Amino acid sequence: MATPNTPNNAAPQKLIDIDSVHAKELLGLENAGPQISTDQPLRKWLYDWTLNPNIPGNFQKSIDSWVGILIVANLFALVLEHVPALFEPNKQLFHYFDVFSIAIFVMEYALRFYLAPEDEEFQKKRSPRTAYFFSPFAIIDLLAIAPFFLQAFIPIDLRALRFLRLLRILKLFRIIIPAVKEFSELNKGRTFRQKIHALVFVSPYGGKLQSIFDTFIGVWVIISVLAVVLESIHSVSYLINVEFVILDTIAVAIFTVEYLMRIYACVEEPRYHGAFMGRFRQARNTATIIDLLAILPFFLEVLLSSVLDLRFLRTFRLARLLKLTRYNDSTKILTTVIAREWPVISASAFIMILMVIMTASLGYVFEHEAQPEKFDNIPNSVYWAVITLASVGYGDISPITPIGRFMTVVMALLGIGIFAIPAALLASAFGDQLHKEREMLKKNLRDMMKDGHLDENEIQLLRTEAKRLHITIEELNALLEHVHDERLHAQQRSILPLHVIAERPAQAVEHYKMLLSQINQLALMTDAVKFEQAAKASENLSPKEMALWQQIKSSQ
Amino acid sequence: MTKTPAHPGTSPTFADWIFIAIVIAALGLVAYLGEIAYEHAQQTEKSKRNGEAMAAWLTEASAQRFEANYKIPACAGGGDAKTSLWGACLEHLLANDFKDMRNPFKGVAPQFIEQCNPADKSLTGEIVLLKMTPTPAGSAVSSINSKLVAEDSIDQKLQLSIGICDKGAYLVKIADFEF
Repeated sequence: MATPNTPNNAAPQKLIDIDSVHAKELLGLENAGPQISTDQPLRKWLYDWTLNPNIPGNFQKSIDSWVGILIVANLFALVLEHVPALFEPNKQLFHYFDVFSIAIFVMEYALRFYLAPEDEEFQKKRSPRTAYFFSPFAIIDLLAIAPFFLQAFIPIDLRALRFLRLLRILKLFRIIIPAVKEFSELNKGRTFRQKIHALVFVSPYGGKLQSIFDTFIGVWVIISVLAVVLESIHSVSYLINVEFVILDTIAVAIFTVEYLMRIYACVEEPRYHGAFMGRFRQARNTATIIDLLAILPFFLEVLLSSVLDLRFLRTFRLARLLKLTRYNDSTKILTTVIAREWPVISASAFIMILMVIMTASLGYVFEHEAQPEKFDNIPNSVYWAVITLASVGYGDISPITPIGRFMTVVMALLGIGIFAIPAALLASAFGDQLHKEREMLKKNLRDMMKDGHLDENEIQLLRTEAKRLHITIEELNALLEHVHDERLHAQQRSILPLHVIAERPAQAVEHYKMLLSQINQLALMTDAVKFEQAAKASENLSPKEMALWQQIKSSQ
Repeated sequence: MTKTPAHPGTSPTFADWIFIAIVIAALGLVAYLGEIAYEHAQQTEKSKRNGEAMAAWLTEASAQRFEANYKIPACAGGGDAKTSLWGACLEHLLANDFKDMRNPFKGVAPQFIEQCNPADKSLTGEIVLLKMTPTPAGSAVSSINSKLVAEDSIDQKLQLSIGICDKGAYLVKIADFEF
C-alpha cells in the first residue's frame, strides 16, 4: 500500500509522535472542539465560529456545505416551477421554500457583512464593510436576494423574476472559484491531459475541485436514477414526460463527457500506460464498463428506434446507480472475493445445475401424467425445480402424486444444503478477504510507525483505510501499543537507525553508554597484545583510534 | 494514487485537440439525439392532448346528452338503442368539434383503435377508445374492455377508457370516464 504523494510545492508536513497519541486522535474522532477563546470580543468570537476558514472544527465548512445544498435545491425548484402540472397545485409550497431560502441567504449576507472587519481579506481596508459590499462575492450574494425584495416594490414580470432568481446559482462560485484556484495552483506547469487526469482520477493534484467533480457526478447519478424510477409511475411520467427526456439528455451529456475524460486521461495512471493498450485496459475495467452501460441505452434507443424496439434498454439506465460503486471499495472487495473463490463457486454452481436438471426430470417423470398442463416437459419443469430447491415455494406448481411428493421432500432437503453453499462461501470469503486486508493495513501501519511518527499523508491514509476496513479504536490502540513495545525492544537491541537515535538526546546518551560498555567488555575479553599486533599489521586503526583504545584499556 | 512528472509544455497538444474535438462531437451527437427524443416526446404530448380533448368533450356531454332537446342528436342518449349509435356520434364529432384533430406523427386525422402494438409502428399517435363492460360480482377482473365500435349503442350511459399510442406504439392511458 503506497502512501499518497504530495506535489512538490506542498508545505512542510506536520508530524505526529506515535508515543504520545491516542487512536481516537489518529482517527480524527477526538472532538476536542475548535480552539476558540471565549475571552475575545463577540464579533471575533462569532467570526471564528462561523466564517473563519482557518479554524478546524468550527461551523465554516458546514455552513458552506448547507448553503451549497440550498442553492442547488433552489435551482431544482426553479426548474420544477416551469412544469405547470407540478407548479400549479404546489404553488404555496414553492413560495414557502422561496421565502425560507431567502431568509437563509439574507442571514448569511448579514452575517458576512457584520463580520467583514474580522475577515483577513477586508480587515486591512479603510472601511472593511464597504470593501466587502463591493467585493464580487458580496455582489453575487446581493443579486441572489435582491429580486425577492424588489418584486415587493416594483412589478416584475414572472419570467424576468425567474431569470433573476437563477442568479442564485452564482453563489456556488463562492465554493467553486477557490477550488479552481487551488486546482490551477496544484497543476501549474502540467499538461492538459494531466489536468484532466487530476480532475477525474483521485490524485494529489485534484484538490477540492476533484471532490466537487465527484460530488457533481454523484448528484447526477442520483437524479437520473430517481428520474428512471419516477418515470415508471404513470401519474408522474404522464405529467412530466418531456422534462424526463430533457433530464436524461443532460445526464447522458454529462456522463459521456466524463467517460471520454476517463478514457483519455487514464494513461496518466501507471497501470494504464500505453496510448492504445492502456486505454483498452481502462475500457475493460468494470467501473468503465458500468460508465458505458450508463450512456449506451440512450444512443441505441434513439439511433435504432426505427429498426428495433429497444425500450427495454431504458431499464438499464438504472445501471447508473452502479457508477456510485466507484466511490465505495465494497464492490472491489466482492469482485476480488468472487475472482479468488471462482473455482469453488463454479464447482458448486455445477452441482446446483445438476440438481436442478435432476429434480426437473424426476418431477416430469412422476407428475407429467397427473398434471400434464403443469409438468408438460422437462424445460418447463425447471421453473418448479428451481423454486423448490431454492426454498422459495410459490405454490403455483406443486406435486400431487405420492412418489412425486416424496421425491420433492428429498430434493428440497438436499437443495437447502446445496443452494446455501455459494452464499456461505461468499460470506466466508468476504470476511476472510476483509481480515486479510486489515492484517495488511496493520502491517503497513507498523511499517509507517517504525520511525516513531506519522505524517499527514500517513494519517490521511490511516483514516481512509481504517474507515474502509472498520478498524476499531480498540484495535488501533492495541496496534499502537504493539508498535510502541516493538520500538522499545528495538531500542534495547539498538537496531534503530543511528539518525533516529541521534534525534533523541536521552536515547543518544543511552546509546553512547551502551557503546562504551561494549568497548569496555571488548577490552576486557580480548588479548591486548594480539589486538595491537593485528591493528598494526593491517593498519586498520588510525593513531587517534589507537590512542583512544589504549586510554580505555588503561582506565580499566 | 499516482504522481506523474510535470511536462515542460503545458499548452494543448495535437492529441489534446483531437480529444477536445471528440468531446464536442459527442456532445453534438447527444444534443442531436436529444432533440430527436424531445421531438418524439412532444408528438406524444400532442397525441395526449388529442385524447384529453376527446375525453373532456365526452365527459362534459355525458351530463347533458340525456336531457331532452340535446343539441347534438347524434350523440344523445335515452333514445332508441338501434338508432342511437356511436358511429353516428363519432362521425358528427370528427366533422365538427374535432375536425382539426391531427395525429401529430402522421399529420392526418387519428384513427380509433382497439389496442396499441409495439410491433406495429403504424399505430403511433392513434387513439385507443375502449368500452368497459362490468363483470359479475366476484369475478377476477372488474370489467372487460373492448373497442367501442360504430355499431355500439349509446342510448345508455357507457364507461369508457381512452388512451393513445406513443412513438414506440406503447399505450399511454389517459382517463377512464363516463359517457
